[in-house]
Amino acid sequence: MKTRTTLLAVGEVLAWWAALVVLWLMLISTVYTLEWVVGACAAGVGALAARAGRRAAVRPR
Amino acid sequence: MNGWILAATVVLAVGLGTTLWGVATGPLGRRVVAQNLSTALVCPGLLLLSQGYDRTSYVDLALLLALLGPVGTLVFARLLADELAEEQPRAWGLTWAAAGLGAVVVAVLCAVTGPGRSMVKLLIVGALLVGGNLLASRAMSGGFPGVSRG
Repeated sequence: MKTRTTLLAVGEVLAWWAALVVLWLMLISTVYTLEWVVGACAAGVGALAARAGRRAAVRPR
Repeated sequence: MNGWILAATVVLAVGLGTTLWGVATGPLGRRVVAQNLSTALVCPGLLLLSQGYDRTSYVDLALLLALLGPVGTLVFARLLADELAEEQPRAWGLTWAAAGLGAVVVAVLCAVTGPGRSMVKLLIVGALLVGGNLLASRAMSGGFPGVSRG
């Protein structure tokens, strides 16, 4: 059960991260390596914040 | 001056002028409605200006405004909850008109831009603009009674 919870958490953060990276790539003007790196890092922070926000708003029953 | 700048001037002059007048005069409910409409009208104006001047950085301004405008209205809806509970300001005709203007501007700009990342960005701005304003209008008119008011 514990493994399942961890997997679900990792999956959720990864899903947020992927969505945020795509959003970043859509909003910038030119795509190059540094933008990828900065975008991936920012999306990582954003994904953790998004999960925390989702958990604060929607309490798991 | 080209057609885009002319259209932006009309949108800004008529839209922003009217909403500023609405914000500055009249009862509280009307002021809040006008404040909400002002961002919904300035955002398409900025999009038109970005096309007219060929400066893509104006799209970023429109994106910020589309994001922060409804958030500002939600703050007002929260802070003025007691006063607004009596009035429950509704202006669905104007709200849908502003949303329609935003949708038309975004659609025309998408058609001009053509497929690509900048078109996706425009669509994101449009979705935030229309969705955010409909949400903010609903919150203002007491459309979310389940949310605790403080």
